[in-house]
Amino acid sequence: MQAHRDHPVLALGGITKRYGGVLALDDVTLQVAPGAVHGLLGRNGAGKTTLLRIVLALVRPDAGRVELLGRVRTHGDAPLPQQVGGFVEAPRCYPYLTGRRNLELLAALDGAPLGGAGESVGDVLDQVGLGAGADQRAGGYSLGMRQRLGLAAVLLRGPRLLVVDEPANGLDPAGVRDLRALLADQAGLGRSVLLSSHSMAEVQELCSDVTVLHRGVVAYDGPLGGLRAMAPPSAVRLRTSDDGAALTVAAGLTGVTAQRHRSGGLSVTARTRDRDLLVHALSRAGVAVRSLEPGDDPLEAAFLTLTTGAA
Amino acid sequence: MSATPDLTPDAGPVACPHPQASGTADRTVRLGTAVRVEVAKLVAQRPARALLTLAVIGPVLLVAALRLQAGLPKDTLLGRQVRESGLAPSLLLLGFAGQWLLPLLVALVGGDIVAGEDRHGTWPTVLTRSCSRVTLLWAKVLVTAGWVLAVVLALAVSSLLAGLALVGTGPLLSLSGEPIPPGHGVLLVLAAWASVLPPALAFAALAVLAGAVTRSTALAVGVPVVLALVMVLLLLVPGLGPARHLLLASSFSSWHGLLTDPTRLWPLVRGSLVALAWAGVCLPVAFTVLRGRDEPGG
Repeated sequence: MQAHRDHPVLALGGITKRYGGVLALDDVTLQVAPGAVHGLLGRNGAGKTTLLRIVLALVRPDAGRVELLGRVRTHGDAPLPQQVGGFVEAPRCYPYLTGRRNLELLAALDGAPLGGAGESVGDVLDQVGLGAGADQRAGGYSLGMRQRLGLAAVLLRGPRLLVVDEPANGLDPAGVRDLRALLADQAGLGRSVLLSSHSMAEVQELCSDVTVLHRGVVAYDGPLGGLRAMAPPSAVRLRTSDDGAALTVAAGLTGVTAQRHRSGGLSVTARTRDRDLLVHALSRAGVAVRSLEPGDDPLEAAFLTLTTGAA
Repeated sequence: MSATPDLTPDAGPVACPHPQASGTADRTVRLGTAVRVEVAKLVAQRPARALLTLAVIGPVLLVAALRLQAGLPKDTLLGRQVRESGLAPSLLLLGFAGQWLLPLLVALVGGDIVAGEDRHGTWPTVLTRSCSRVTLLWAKVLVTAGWVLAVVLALAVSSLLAGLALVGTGPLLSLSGEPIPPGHGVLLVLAAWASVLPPALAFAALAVLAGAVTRSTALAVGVPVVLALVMVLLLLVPGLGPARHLLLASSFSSWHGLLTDPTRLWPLVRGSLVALAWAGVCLPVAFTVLRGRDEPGG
């Protein structure tokens, strides 16, 4: 997924949004490159969904600029550009219509003849794995089926930019796997994806770039590798035959920080080489090492570091 | 969840629903298309179909009941004639409909056509298509107007045919006491039903506004109905003077002028102008609210 930052499909500049006395977004700037899957991370209430709503013209920013596919949005009455599609939170549909009829009406609102988009509707239904349930009333759909229908509604627009908010919500493990494959495939076709997600595994698997929001402010914006590199040395969990003696041994070594873990054993922070030295020293001191468990995932650790404490 | 997930890349490129989707030009959906979409949604809803059916069957049942019951509704306008002239039951229903039935029937659709999008959380779904907010709102207003027309037509034709079939073609006595020949009477009854279209449309506009402001179907339906009843009560208040003519309930009874000798058309004109003024206030405010608001829902 090669980034072409000169011609982003989405460029947000200085986006600010306030709800009453609450500053939801403060001077948010980000760009999504063509063909990139761009992750949007943040804790609950960080402003991710508000930002996606602004991109989809559902919410007007108080300040800032939204440039979609090279054109600045004026926040007037113009509809969303044809080649942008997406949903925020759980996609919604008309419960008294079938999934297929929902899509036919949405296709009509995209300019297709009413009832004349049957082939395209069938194609996207098959693509999201909803072909078998397409003629059931959407009111009886499970959360996962509604997610699939929402995704089908987005794909129906043939978008160059897909904006999706937690698309894996409600999907079973196989559905999650297939969703990720589909999003990766969209990127492979040159389409861009702005993906809001709480799943680090999803972000690691799909995203080339990420933006981390914390309390409405951009805490990180750049390549995924750059975020991973910001992770602090990870702590490992050490279980020994004598934790007291192990603490004394660790205290005698430079580059090793050890403390009792609240759930038992020790929490040890050290680079790999220093950790090896600690294991040797413990062995020489007659302290048996019973287990050495990996600590936090580097990406998760970096995320937690960026989104813990004051902005 | 379907049994066989197929979100696979093997499914190939996404098919575009129409050629323009792969081009660069944006398209704005025309009003006619948006109207057809709204009609399709309305027709698919059981409550709307049930209400229209009720508007057809209800008058027949009413006329049958009036014919079978022992006494006459003497305290209602034209109530003494319901077994003498087949035109009277239709006008009796008209008088009754203007008090709260028509406001209810139009508000059930006019309120829900806007607030229903909030109830289902579908504003973000439709506002992320290629249809502008204004086009979408006009489509909703036009479909609501069509619904008003359909309901009034159903009530009028059904009650008129049921009256003529079950009661007969006896002459109707005007409010001044002169007999009206059946042929002319039918035209007057249809004109009387047509005269309630403007206030019914005004109540529909009120329901649209209530839906836009409250985002609640219950309030969007309830507010116009309660207002209708309040207006009926206000008409009973003595000393209201000319201000009474500003009430939509007054517009609903302006057809009385058709049944006097000489015919009084000014109440009809005034009632229509008052209804136009109500709609002329409600709709622009509703449009302003709907165009300007953020859509925080999912």
